[in-house]
Amino acid sequence: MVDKKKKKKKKQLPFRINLLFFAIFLMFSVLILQLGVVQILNGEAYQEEIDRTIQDTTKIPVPRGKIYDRNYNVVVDNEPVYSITYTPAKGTQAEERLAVSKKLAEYISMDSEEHLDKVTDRDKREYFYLLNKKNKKEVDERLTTEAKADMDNGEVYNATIDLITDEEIANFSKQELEVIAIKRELDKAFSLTPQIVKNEGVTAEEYAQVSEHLSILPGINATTDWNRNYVYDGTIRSIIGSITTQKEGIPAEQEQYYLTRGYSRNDRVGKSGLEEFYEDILRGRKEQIEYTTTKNGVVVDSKTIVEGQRGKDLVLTIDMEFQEEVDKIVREELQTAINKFPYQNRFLEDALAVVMNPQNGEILAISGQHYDRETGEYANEDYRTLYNATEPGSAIKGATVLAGYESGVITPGQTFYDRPIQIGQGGPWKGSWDNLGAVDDLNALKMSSNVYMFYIALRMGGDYRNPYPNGSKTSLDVQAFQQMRNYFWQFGLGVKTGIDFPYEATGYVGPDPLAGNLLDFAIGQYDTYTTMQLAQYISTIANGGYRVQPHFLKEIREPIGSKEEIGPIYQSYGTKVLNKIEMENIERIQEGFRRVFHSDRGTAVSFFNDKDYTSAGKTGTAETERYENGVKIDTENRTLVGYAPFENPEVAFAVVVPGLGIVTQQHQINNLIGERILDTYFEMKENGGILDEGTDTEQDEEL
Amino acid sequence: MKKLMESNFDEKLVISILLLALSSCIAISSSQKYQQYEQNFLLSQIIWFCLGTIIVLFIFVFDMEQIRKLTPYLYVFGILLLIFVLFAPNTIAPIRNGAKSWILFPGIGQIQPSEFMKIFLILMLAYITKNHKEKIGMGSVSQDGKYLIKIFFASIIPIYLVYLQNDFGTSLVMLVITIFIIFVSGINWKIIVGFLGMAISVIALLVLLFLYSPNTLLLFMDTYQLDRIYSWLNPFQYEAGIGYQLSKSILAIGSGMISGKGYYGGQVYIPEAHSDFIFTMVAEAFGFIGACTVIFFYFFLIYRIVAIAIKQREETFEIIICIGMIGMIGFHTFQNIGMVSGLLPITGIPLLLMSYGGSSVLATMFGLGIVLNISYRTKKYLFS
Repeated sequence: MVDKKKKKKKKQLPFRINLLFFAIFLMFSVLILQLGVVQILNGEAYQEEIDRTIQDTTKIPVPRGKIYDRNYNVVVDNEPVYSITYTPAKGTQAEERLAVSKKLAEYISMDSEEHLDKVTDRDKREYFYLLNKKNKKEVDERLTTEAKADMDNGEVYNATIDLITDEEIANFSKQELEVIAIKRELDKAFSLTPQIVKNEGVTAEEYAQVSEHLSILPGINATTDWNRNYVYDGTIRSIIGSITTQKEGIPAEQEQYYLTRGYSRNDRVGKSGLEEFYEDILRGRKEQIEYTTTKNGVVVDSKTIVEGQRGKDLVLTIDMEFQEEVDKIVREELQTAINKFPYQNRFLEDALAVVMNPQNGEILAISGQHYDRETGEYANEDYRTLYNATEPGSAIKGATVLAGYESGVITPGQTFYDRPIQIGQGGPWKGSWDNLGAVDDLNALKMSSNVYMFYIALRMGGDYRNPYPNGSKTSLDVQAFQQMRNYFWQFGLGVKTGIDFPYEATGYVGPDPLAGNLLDFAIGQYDTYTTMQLAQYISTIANGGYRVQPHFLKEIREPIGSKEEIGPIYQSYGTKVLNKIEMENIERIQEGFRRVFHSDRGTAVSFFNDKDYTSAGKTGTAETERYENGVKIDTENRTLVGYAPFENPEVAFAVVVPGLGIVTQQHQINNLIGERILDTYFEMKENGGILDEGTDTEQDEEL
Repeated sequence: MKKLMESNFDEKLVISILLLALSSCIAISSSQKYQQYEQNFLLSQIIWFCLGTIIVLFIFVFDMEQIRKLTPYLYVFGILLLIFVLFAPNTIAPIRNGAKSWILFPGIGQIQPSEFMKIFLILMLAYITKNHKEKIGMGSVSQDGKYLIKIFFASIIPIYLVYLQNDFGTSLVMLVITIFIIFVSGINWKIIVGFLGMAISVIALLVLLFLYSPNTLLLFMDTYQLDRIYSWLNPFQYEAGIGYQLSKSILAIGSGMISGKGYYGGQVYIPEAHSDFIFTMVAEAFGFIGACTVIFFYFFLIYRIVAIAIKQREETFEIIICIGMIGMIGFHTFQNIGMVSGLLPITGIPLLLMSYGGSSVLATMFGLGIVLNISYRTKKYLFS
């Protein structure tokens, strides 16, 4: 018995071992079967999946370039604003966003009223649904199978979410609401595109906390965004322009233009002024990171293809201290004129001035003061010097006289007898402000003879009768208009000045080639010009015949990290001569202009004669009209162009004040503005030489 | 000469170990392509194999009787180490990948006591079985009942301690080892059938719970364990999260196809490819053929241990050790390859001898050393 039992036992042992061995054999067979399925049956599909990766590039914005004035005072700065962004991978699930939100809530605070108020019941329901599997399952069961039958996935989800009761979402704690508020922001993000989660009031501590925990916050990044800070509130604000907000993004009408240049839809771009004009320089270069993802959205690789660089800095030709002074002068004189004759000057709204270096075109100050008659407030609207074109009156007579020389109809020293002339029987008598008698070219400029200009115009039209037989008709060559305008264009009158600004007006070109209109043209009462055009015109006379392009940009500087220091020069803005006046005898114009300011009976002698500096220039008054309740009211535009010092001009200016009333003892606003501008300029130069002179000699060489 | 002639030393087992060590070195060197860490794992692994060989040779100094006598001490030592790991501060016993399983020896390295505990458990169960058979006997329900109680206590302690370390995989291995040993111990068939029936019902219950009321499972499982099951069932749906490693692994293995992409030809980056996911390296680089070759090496290794066990006739202690080793190696291989190929849920256990890791290599070599020693000391029954 015992033996038998023992024998049985002996047999049993190898049997059991073999049974185990067989079990292992079966298990290993299953493994090989599984490998066969994965590798042989589906292998090709997996290989295809590996090959099917997608490359995506993410662009990270960089701060915009700063803007300085010519003395390197900051005019436009960037204020760093910390921001927390979220860039989801492709195919990120709602559960994952919730997990990130929960973690992020530990590091940032989003429980202010403003954030919590945005949380909708829908957000709360989604949160409840995702919160745990129990909730999800319970809620899923509320929707009957029949109801689901003819819904697609989205509809099922919406219907399911709607079945969460108000009670269930009623009692969230503040912490939970904060998580919901954060998740709400994360839900807005598109895959691989940074979405701002929080960028207002992010504290340095929050920024640091998030930065330290980036590894456990997939998709979250802590970055710095930038706000534009315009240091000089109001002053030349319209010249500097502005940029779009992130919400506005790139302008819709130019979407293609920007997109092909590497912008994203939510990029902030210059939309006006210099911010727009120098967008390419200020924008900088975005950092570009290329992500390689599988089609399931798993990022398998990322590398920086383009290193980012902050936008380059602009240095303007404007001297902000001088600019503020000029603003003050123009506004004060405008106020005085309005207050002195409130009724007569009831159409007066604007006083405009441009100050530039006639040698190189650098704009030193630009001021457009506007009086809003509805609100009674004054405002800086400097762009009006570029946008508003008016009849300048006699200020352009220098161009008329030069046209006379150049066309050969007069020679230097030519005299005409100044008394009113009448074209055609019953035509209007046209004369100067007084009967000036016999005047030569120099005195014609000095005393502002209109009649002298009429004779030039008549002769250019082919009518050489002298004196003109009053009352007789004349048939002028129509070509004379074009000829006269060609000469004016060479001074920049009637054409673009070429200024570095997104827009400039060129003025109105009179369409009617009548003799009377040609005469009016010759005294600046037909075509209209902007203040900037007049500034270019006087600069051309001041520098001896070079039409230089006016410009706001002096230098481009490389960006450097330090906030205090300025980077090395990247590019200097050279003087651009647009054309040279091929006319001789320009010195005669200069001399005539000098007499306006310095010689007895000069029209502005009382303002400029008694100064430490010698200056030259030309006044202008244009008869204009306004209509009030259908009644024509005569008004006039007062202008002044000038430059100084006479021998070696370094500053030129144009002043335009349109719409003054006709009144004796009128405030001499144009002359006063001009005088004060030159006084201030030389005073400031003496007191510290803010307006650096280095450029003058440099530019002389270039010219 | 005569003594050597009589020895049953199993050279084929040595060859199969060498083949696996060689495969391990090739696979680890291939995994270094991705440079996830700066350490040179190949060199370290070679050092571990050398140290393992020294351990094997050292074991030959002892005969089986001496080893048997040492067993209770080794077992208690292992248990104490496990307790130490649990209560030691994080500076000495850090938490890695969620498990608190390591003891740091600053400047030298680190050990994972649970790896060694598996071998100590095998020895202890063999010790208990032998003693019980000799003193009480097996076969009747009351004898077997007493045996089961002893086994239960001897194994539940390390299993529970390791489970507390959050190393579910190794607990499972110990459980499987225990079941293998009980099965071979000579226990009554009726009891086995009874237990089998219970096990099947429990598993069926779990499956039903998982399908219809997963929240109930959360009462005794962690969410991460449940998530692993979800990600195993549908790795590509959870690709961005917990299914990341698994979906990568399946992509790598699958795209290896029949003959593989060649040494260093891998395209899919898999984190921790040198340790738990080493098999994907083999399968991607050498394809179905290479993968099956490695599985065959394991099968051959187990076959050799089975052969040694059967030769033992009545030497219970030796047989049970062999069975424990078969259970351990068999289950590790099945579970590891099963998980990387998507057959089984992810439990972080290494592929023995292939995966990089000092503790794992040394412990396995320790166990195999004892098996070799058994074969070396088995006399041929020339006259039976």
